[in-house]
Amino acid sequence: MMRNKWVAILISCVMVGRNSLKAAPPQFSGSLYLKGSGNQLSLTRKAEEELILIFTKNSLQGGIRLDNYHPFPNRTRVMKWREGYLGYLKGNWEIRAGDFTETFGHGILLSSYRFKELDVDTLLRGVRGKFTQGRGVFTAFSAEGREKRKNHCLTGAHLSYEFSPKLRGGMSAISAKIPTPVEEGKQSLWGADAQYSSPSWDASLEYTSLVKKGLTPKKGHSLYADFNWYALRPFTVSFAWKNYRNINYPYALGPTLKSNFETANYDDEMGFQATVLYAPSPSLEVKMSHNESNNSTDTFPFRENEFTVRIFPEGKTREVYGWFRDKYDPGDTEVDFELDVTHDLTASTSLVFQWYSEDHTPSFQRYKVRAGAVGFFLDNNRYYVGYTAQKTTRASEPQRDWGFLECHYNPTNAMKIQLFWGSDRGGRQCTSGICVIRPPMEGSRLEITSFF
Amino acid sequence: MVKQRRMIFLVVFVILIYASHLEQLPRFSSKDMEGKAITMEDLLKTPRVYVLDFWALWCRDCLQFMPHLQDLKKKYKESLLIVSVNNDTTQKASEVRSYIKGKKYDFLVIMDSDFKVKNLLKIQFYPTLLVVNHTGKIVYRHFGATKKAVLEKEIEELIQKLPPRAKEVSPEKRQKKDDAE
Repeated sequence: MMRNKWVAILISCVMVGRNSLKAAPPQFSGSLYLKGSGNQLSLTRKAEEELILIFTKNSLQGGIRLDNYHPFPNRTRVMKWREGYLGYLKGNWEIRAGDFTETFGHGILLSSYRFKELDVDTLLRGVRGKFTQGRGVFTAFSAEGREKRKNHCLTGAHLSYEFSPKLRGGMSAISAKIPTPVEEGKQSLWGADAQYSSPSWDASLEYTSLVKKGLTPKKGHSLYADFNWYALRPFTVSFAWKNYRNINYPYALGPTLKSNFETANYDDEMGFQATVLYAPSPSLEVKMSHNESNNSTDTFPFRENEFTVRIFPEGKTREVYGWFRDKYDPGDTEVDFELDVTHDLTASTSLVFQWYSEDHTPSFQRYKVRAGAVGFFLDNNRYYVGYTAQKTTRASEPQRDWGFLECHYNPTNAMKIQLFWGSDRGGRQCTSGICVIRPPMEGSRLEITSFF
Repeated sequence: MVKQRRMIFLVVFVILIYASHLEQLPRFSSKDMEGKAITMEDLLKTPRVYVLDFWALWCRDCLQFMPHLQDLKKKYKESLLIVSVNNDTTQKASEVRSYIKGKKYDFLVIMDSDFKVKNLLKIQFYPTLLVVNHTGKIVYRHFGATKKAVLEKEIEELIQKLPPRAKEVSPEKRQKKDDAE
């Protein structure tokens, strides 16, 4: 009965969307995402569906997102109204009720967002108003967290002002209640940010302060600054500095000043990052980066070096990409290397070759990770067929050898079909021109995504 | 039960095929690299062809395609607006700025660090390129790596459909009009 209801909702929503799009406003658009996977060994099968609908009429805008998840063996289903909002936009005013995202400054004070592929959802549910007058923008909101964070309560405001086309500044304040089993978790935060931008250099600065009362009181602060210098072109020199102390709360997301694979410790971390980008022509790009950080007691030194070369040669080889990283922290020393080549075989067919290696030397056990992939793009990227092999010597992983076949097909401009077969170690992967974060997986998976 | 499941799958599949057609670009607002507010509604006031490129610093194929976008901007001048939507988190804002300015890319960059635009336009793959006509309809959608020649052909096709007045307006007049707006 439940399933029939779900199908009925899907059909009616899609039909409404379709018909309304042809007729006069309100207009609907949406997407439908279906994922099914099966594994004969463990007999686990599941399907996921996601439906997003958005409508716009004059000053009104609204949207809903429904998710349906049902693992087949136990027949239990979870169908949820995940997200919904209604907005009103008129002149200088914007009011929104329901679920929303918001960022103040660099996100150290507030960064609320949803990124499905990374399974991050810090959306807020409440009311938000925005008022723009001349060079100033004032934002105020009152909201609670969602799902697991439903008991969180936040009220905040941000004022940003453009002093000149090059200089912009802002001030923010937030009052938050983030209860724990033992206390109310009341905390107040405030911050100030500034950004300067000119053709030869740009810079930004942000200061944040946190005061928490209750059984476990704490005082925290953060200071972040960055500077990019373009006057020495083709060289671009960048420097950034951070100091985070007790600023760790669920809606903070300050710059890490590390590579994409690393996170920052907002409780206690201080450090810098220096980068030089050399780009003498559109066909060559060389980037060198070094970062260091430590905690206040000097007991967690962290160092990282990155070196990237990207060449876009004229002719049939479209790209040669080389990347090297070495990282040191007290638990592990890691050296990574990647080489990718994209080569046009014919006008409509391309070959992609990728090689990746990781060498870890932690104190307890050394291990290696190796991966190689070969793929073909056919009919101007309409089809993709590729095979990826992965191998690791890490004892704690469930298996050492992995390999999978991937086929992608875009039958229309509004539809993508993806087929996966084999076993995948997971992690951040970029194949067939798409980068996603994947969990480990064994079996087969069919994904159909349609946009309307 | 199996029959019923097959039936459901078939129905949904038919709906997907049926639903695959032109989509209107929804209204959204965001910020550029300097923190200036940008609304798609304002950008659409000038009739031209739009290419929305969703990218991130960690997506290599996205970076690979950027020189082509710069070429297209140079080639089609005022008939085309490249809107480069960055989907790195706020943690990488400075790196994004230094990369774009260091490479001398001068197309419009939207900092969608809270993924508001990404979620609104239901972007699931990187890079995704949306080719939008002058009325704001998404005519072509490219998932993953795309060939420059294919995109060029689509842009030219849509430029041909621009209203005659939009084609006639000189770059100087267009600039004045943009400034006034």
